[in-house]
Amino acid sequence: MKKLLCLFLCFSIPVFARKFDGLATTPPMGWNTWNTFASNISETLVEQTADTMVASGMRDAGYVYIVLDDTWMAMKRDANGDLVGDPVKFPHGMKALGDYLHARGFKFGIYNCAGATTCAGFPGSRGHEFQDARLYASWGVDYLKYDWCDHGTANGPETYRIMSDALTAAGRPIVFSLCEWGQNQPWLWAEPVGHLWRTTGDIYASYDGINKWSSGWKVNLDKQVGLEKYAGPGHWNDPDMLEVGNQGLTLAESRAHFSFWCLLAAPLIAGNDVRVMTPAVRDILTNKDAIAVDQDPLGHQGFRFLVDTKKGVEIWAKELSNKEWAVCVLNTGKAPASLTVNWSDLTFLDAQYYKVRDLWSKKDVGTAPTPYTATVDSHDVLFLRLTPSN
Amino acid sequence: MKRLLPLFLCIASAGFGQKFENVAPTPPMGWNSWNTFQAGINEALIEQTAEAMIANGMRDAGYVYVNLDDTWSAKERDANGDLAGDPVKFPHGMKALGDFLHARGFKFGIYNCAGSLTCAGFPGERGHEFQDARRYASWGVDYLKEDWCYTGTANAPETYRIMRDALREAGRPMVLSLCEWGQSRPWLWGGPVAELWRTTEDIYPSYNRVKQILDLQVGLAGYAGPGHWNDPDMLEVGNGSLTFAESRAHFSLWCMLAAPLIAGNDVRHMTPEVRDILTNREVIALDQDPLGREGFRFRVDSKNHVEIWAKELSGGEWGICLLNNGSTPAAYTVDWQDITFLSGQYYHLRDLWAKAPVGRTPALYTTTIAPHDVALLRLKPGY
Repeated sequence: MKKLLCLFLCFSIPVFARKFDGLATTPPMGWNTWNTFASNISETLVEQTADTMVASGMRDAGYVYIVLDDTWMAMKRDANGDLVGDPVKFPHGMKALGDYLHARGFKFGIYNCAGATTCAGFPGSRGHEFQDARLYASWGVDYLKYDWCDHGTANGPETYRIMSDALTAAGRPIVFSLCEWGQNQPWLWAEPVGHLWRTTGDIYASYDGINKWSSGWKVNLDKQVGLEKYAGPGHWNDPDMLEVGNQGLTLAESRAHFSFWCLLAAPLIAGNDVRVMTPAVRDILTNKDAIAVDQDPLGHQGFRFLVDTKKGVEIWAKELSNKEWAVCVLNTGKAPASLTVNWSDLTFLDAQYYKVRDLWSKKDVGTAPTPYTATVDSHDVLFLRLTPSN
Repeated sequence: MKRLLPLFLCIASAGFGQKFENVAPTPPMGWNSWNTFQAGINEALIEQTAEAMIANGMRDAGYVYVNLDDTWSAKERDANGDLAGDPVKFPHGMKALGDFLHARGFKFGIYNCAGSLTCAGFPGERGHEFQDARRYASWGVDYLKEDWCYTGTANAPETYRIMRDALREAGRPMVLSLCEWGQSRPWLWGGPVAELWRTTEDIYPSYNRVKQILDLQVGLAGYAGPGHWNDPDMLEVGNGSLTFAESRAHFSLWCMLAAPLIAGNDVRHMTPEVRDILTNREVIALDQDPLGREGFRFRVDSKNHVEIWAKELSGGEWGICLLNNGSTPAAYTVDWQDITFLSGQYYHLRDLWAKAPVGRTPALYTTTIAPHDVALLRLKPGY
């Protein structure tokens, strides 16, 4: 009916809202239940995690979003069609959990899915978007991760716009994290829709392993090449959450993983059991110099500058504010190697002299253009910050 | 996240529902506010229309759905995100209107749109499907026409399945009428989703438009059947520039198509001639035949500007419609030996507008058809 009317009206009425602006001006940082706990989540776990993140310094280092992933809810909506938290896992309800987190300086993140059911088979948001957004707002939710299982033949951009509009209509500023695994090239259309979007399938705790639906961090890293121009303040490529400290990665691999995610301006969403992590893992996650690369207000995503498969070296770089640069040098080989950075080869550097600081040793290590040489373990990195100097 | 999980679970969990069974075993019949009244609707109009449909015999002829089209709702949803009727147009609310209709033997139809707004700019269904379906069920709604404005790049089959699932979950059996103008060829996927689906863009009351839409039905007959109907749009009988003959031809052909018969005129003020078209029970019986076959175009005689349409009926009977598409009267003779789909040799012929027997096969049938008029016959096997 009434196509004629639409011809007149469809162009004159603003149909689609825009996401909340001013959120995620730097990549979101926090913790998510999935990578370690999958469906074994509860109020106690989340509260202990929050308390630990205060004690371990993670919160103060910037990890403020505590995000429940899939399986937080009851298997059925209530008689009004509203979602409810799993009454066994969350006996005090979701609002109480949000209050607990807010009282401790955290923000509250939650998960759902654009399909009829979530990936784990819980009620999805399909056809309930506005109702669910209103409920999340009433619980004090600050962050929504939105998955893509069970979506049938739905159109990705259009479907994510529905939830984006629903969040806007609900009126509470909520970071909207799109998780459609990069299938619809969200970097091309999601900037007005959400604040971050997954670019790949799932990560798992491996350097370069490949499973059917998940891959090691180096595989995800390689898929970021070429996407750097689509990221910026308020709209970030998301190469998936952190596996730092999880079984399957050496300490060097965890450190390199973290360094690269910082270089990518990736969301830093820890996925380990922060209640029992080692001091070494904690020191990776809370290295403020590394985090500062990620959170640099310029908001540029790093890019791959050089791949030398013969030498087993990759060099990545990220432009920072005030003409500073971060450079990451990866030993892709299986043995420790002595790596030399010839600064004059890095053609993007436009100042003559830079002070060079190693962000892991936390030491100044010379001045560019004097070449810098260091021994790097297998799958480990040099993570350097360059500051122009006279 | 978690693409591993769905492999196991999506198969096990019933992600998608089914439409209600048996809510439209024959094509729906009723009345809709749009073609005549558009935005000028209100409670008094609907109630007067319902009363008139009782008095003029329409209800008893089968027109039981009284359907509000676009503009019935308030411009904004309430604080809970619920739809509400326009409080000026429908001061007693939508439930009260449904109760009024139900008390008089009607069913209550309503309209919305799969997009973010309706075509007229009222709140659409997008993202509110389950909430709205529950609302409609609470009002006693029996029929939902679901339009396709403001849908952006949405995928029509998937989007309409959301509403199908929402109605199912709300639990009240409702006819779901898809109105995406045939853009995504709904006849290919609409069967498990809805009871009827528009096959074209809108009708308007001119013979040429009626004929254009008729032509667009060619080839679609195989997709219709009990519970799943092609919808060539609502009736313009008695409207606009249509002559009496054109209204009668329009109605005859819609019945041949097993089309939904949704009147769109002001039934409070129609002429006896228009009433007689809409309430001709023998013609309606073609439409409502329980076999549920849609008619097909058998022949186009472009020299004489005559088309022959045929519809198989139950009991081995047939409906035959001869349309004079020309601008002068057509004298036309049917040689039944040419009508190759007839399996029997002997049929009694009945003219459904003259309401009289007009011979039997295999004797030639000759008639003169006025411009844009039809000869509408029912063939019954027998000596």
